[in-house]
Amino acid sequence: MYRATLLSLLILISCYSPSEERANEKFNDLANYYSNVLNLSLPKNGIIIILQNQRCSSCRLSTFLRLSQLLKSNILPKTFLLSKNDSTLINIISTIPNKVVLFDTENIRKDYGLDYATDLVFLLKESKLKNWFELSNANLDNLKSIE
Amino acid sequence: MKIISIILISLILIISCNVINDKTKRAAKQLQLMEKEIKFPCLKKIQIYSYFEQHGIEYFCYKIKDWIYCMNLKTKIVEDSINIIFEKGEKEKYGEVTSFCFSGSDSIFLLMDKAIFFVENKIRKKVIPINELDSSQFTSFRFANLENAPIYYDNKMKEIIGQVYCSTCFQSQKSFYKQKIVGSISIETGKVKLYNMSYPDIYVMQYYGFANHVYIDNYCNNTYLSFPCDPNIFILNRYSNKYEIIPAKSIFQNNAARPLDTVFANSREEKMKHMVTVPYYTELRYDKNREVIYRFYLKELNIKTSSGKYNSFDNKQLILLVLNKNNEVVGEYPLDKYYNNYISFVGKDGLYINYFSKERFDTGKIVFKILTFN
Repeated sequence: MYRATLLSLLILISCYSPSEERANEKFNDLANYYSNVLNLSLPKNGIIIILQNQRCSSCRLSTFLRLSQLLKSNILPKTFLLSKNDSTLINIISTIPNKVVLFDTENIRKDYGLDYATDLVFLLKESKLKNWFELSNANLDNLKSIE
Repeated sequence: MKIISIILISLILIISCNVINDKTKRAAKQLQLMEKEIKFPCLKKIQIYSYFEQHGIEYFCYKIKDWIYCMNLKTKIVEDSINIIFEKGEKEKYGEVTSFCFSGSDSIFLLMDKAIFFVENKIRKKVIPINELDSSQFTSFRFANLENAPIYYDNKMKEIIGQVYCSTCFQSQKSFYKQKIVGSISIETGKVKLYNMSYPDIYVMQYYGFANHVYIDNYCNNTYLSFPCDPNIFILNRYSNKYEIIPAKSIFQNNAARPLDTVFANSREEKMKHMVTVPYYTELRYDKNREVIYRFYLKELNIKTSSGKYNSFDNKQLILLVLNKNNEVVGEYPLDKYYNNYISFVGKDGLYINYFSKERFDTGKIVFKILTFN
């Protein structure tokens, strides 16, 4: 009996991967931010991009340009969340179709685990988090499209 | 029954791995903290600064854009300013100034990404190429101030002391932590020398993500080092090239710092979260007048508050440890969140710590608390 319980427990633990746990946590953080701060529900299908542009967006210009190229070819609605109005970024975003730009100038997203000094991209499909990643040139190198 | 015993033994082993073997010496009586405050005009945010004393007069100097200003700590008057741009295109050629130090009021040393400047009476007297501009010496390492290791001028040896890091290693590799991390550059010959000091063993054995900063202070022939996840302080005697390990664990540290899995080496978010949660030792300052070491410590923290909000690095409780000349901890003092240990230095009156207050923004003044211990 003990052996069977222990074995089941081990199987359960091994089935629940850390990356799945992280994805679930991230999805909940994002849903809570949308619900509590924006008074919105998460889009059923869409791409959400959180850009921590408190300082020096021009330093990461090449990354943003590469991201915008990937997003231009995607038909899903896109939501950009920026920490402040930034002409460099807004000019790039303006070239992307089907998008909305929101601002979090009070940096409330940090209370929801959405600002650990890294830009984030979320892909939502059928109300589920299909993919998410930290935005960097290295991560973009491995992507042919956001989907 | 056997299985339960195995589980219990495993649990005990896991728990015991997290307990720190504490050899810290503690004095029987805690010293009493006394505090006063000074304010002086400063309109801009300071990041790079230095302190020096000449003929009994103390100066706090700080860099704003391309100028270094020196303020008399007693009169609170800026007595001198130095333009640190000496030629057109200098920043492109040598990079930004990341640290500076004085040798008397007339001589200043500037550390840049690719050179050290020696400036006397506001005239640049010498340029010592370093790093990319001297690839014969700087083959696989760089001499740099990675934020917490300001340069120091060793007047006796005529050398600039500073931090060294491996420029050909990934920070998740053991080789990064095996690199010698303290170096000197001769002002006369430009020759670089590395000392027998690497990261502590725990950094070679385990990965600690962003919690791998090297905090350095210097006085005479000694270099004092502290690392975020190691409770010990390291004192390197550069003349004998030997170091001493001083146990200096805070009584507020309950658990050893948790290492980070190297699968997160490319995740800025996981490294930031790790930094927020682990017990974290930061700056240390040597007080030559009182022969004590001040050491700052940031307590471990849950990733979320009781209300479910995420914590940030700023939410970590700051503790100040004081060690006497016998390496005994003679006091530990929790400080409120307005103390900015990043800008702190030792003067004749005690330990100066920048203090954030609304007033600074209202009136363009910078505030320092001066702490002494009796």
